[in-house]
Amino acid sequence: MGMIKVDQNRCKGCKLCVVTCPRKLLEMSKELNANGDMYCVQPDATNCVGCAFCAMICPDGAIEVYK
Amino acid sequence: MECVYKRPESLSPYPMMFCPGCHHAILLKLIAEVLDEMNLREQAVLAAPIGCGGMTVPASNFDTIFSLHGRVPSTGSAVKMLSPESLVICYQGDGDAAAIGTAETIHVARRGDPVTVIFVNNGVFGMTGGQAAPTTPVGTWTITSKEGNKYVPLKVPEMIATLDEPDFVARCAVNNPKHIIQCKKAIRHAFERQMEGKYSFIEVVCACVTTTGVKAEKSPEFIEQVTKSDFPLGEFKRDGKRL
Repeated sequence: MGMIKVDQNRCKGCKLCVVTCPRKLLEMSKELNANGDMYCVQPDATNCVGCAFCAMICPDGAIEVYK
Repeated sequence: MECVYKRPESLSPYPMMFCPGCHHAILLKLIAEVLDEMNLREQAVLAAPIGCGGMTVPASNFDTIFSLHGRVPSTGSAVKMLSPESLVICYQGDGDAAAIGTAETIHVARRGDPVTVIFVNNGVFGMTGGQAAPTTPVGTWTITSKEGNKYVPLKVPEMIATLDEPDFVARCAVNNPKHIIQCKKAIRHAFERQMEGKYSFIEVVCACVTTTGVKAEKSPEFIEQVTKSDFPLGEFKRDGKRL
């Protein structure tokens, strides 16, 4: 259905996408990126519908949505 | 699979300087999206203020001009008078538009200069450390009002809507996808009306996630409360008629 691609080094770990996703598919990573922040990951893309709400609210434009 | 959403080209490729979760960055991304959709990037000039809004300058991939504290609408009108084909975006914070620059905000609206003023109201003086501003909602904790702010905030769009010249006056928010889509429509309408020579004013209710003690993941709920109590969303003037 849909999937997202996160630019890991651009994400600052604000968690706005995690609380906005209507299906609660996003979570924060265990590893850190180059800036020392946790970044957003989508462990399982099977339920993603590609609504792009996460990308709309991302302040840093780190998320690309594919459908 | 095709790409349905990606970073707009009008944003610079470098990382933004805003704090993690700052609503300024969501709004700047929206402005960049509208410019890309309307194909106006070459004509756009963003007049940037002093304060957190000044960090829009390195993040924008179009022309920008810095101005003195509070004098953004005056600078914007000067740019518009000298090059009438340009699209002038006067980007202001609340310390800029509602505290030190109230006179410029009101008198540019009174003259009806063809510019678009985007007033980012985060209810606090963010860059100076989080002091209570003229737009802080009643009861909000700040470092200078530890028992909750007791003064009623200044409602700028309501004030601007009483004047005759402004064409479009609205209040929006960017805390959830519904409000983001409404805000994008408002910005697009304002830019269209500016190209027809009209003044428009958009207030965007934002959250400061660093100095007000609200975490980024709680900020959408906080703004939802603020818009219910102190700053009701909606349009106050459209096509020069009061609603």
